[in-house]
Amino acid sequence: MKKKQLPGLNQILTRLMFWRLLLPLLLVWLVVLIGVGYFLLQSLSQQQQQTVKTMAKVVDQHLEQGVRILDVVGRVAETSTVDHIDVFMQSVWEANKNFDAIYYLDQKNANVSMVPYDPMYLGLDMSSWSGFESGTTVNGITVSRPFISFRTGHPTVYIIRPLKQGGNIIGELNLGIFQEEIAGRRSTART
Amino acid sequence: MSTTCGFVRIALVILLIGLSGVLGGCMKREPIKIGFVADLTGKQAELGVQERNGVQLAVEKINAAGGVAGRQLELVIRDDQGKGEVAKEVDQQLVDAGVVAIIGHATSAQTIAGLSVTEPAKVVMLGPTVSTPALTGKYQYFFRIYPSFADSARGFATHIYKERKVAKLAVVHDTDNAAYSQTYKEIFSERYRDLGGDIVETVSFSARERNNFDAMLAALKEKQVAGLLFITSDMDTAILAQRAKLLGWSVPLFTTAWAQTEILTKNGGQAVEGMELEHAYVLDNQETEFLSFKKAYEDRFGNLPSFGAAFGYESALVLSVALGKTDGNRQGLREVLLNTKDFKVLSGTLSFDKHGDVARPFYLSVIRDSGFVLLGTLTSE
Repeated sequence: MKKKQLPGLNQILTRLMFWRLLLPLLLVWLVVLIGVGYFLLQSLSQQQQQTVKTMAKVVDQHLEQGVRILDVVGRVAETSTVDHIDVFMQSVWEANKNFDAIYYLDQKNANVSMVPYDPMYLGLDMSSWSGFESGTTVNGITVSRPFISFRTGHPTVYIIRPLKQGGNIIGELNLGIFQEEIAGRRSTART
Repeated sequence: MSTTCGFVRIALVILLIGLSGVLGGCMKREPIKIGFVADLTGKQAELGVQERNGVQLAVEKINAAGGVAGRQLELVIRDDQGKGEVAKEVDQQLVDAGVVAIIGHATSAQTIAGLSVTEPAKVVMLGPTVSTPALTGKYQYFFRIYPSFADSARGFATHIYKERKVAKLAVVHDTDNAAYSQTYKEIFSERYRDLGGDIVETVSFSARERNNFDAMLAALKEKQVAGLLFITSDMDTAILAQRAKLLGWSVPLFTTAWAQTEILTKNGGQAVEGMELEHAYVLDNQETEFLSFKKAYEDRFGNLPSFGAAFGYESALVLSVALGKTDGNRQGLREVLLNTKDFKVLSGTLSFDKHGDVARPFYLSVIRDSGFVLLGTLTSE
């Protein structure tokens, strides 16, 4: 009968090191790497979702406030003369810096009054003005799609409040603060 | 023993797969960086934003199809704010960031400023909508897919004098884009006068300043001109037309390709009905590829593409094919572009000449019912 040759001590140690130490360590390392990577991705995704939700909420509140203010201007316009509404629009515009401009359009949608006063825009036929026709309407007040204002260069939306007697009160609501906020977050993320 | 060996083999295979996955991820090929620069903020930003959107759409489409030379395209975007000094700064940033080429700028003035940086750096700049003849033959690394307006300005002058029989004209132009408007005015006026026409008055203004268009137009009205040519942006053209109407002044109105957008037709309202313009972009193009682009753009961005978006898109396509031939590298890109002939774009084909310019047709359109109606092709004769 052949005698089974026993392995040398070297071989035993090598096998133990490789199969019982190195290989399990490598497997554990791989599992940890994949696990950490997955966790980090999930965490980043959640953080970004949270940021987006927060921004969306703030924008929503900004728009809601703008709509409420313009609704008030509309109600006053429905019961006032053009001269009186001029004064009221001026006060609202000065008190609320988020509006770059407020327009009062008559029944033919001609610009009969605006704040701040700009003779270049007074009298213009704004019945087919770009941006007025598209947007979301809630309770009769329309918020247009965002656009870049020709007057200020800021990202802006129109808030359009129709009047009972015909015509509209239109506010140009500045969204520039959000652009700056997003730019700020981007540069923070880069660093 | 055999069970242990089997287990060990499975463990080794899993380890190898995992390692190769990790290593593969680390060795993923670097993306190809392409710069884009235009005015993305400020009063004239609409054109720059549309161009950016067009380029972005093309890049997304190219990346979805596998990228260029097996690498994804990465768009590095900068805003020149419509200012020459900023244009130089951001072009330098793009060059330092290692972009292989730059698509931009949106207007002539910023392009000329930016070329002072990119030309010495030997970085190709591809202009989507820059049309001033002042750029022809001056730069080795400048290309554009929009034709120089030298021929269209002459053709427009001929049309206005001979076909519209307008013999006394006033020209209003915006000095903020002087590289475009001043040069256009000069070429146009030269041809118009050669034909026998009289440029009664030339008025300039800066769109950045507060302007009194009423006073300007009232003074022109006194001179009893028979027509008005506006070399101004879409918004300014619309307002000028409306203010002329409010003054009770009804004369034939003309404008250039710069104003060819929905903003002109919508914000101009009734005041721009009958206004004629020359342009290189056909809005009612029925070619399949154009219609497909138009739909993709509207789905992606929620509004119809303007000429800026279309030319931005074409620029990205032309550049990506050229980069495919240089394996995504800057070296040799200029030569590949110079050899680009009969490249199929959204409307027809284009070929670069030795100056990096293209010859593409110009058209004449009129505004009717708040839309552009094509009248025909414009020639320089």
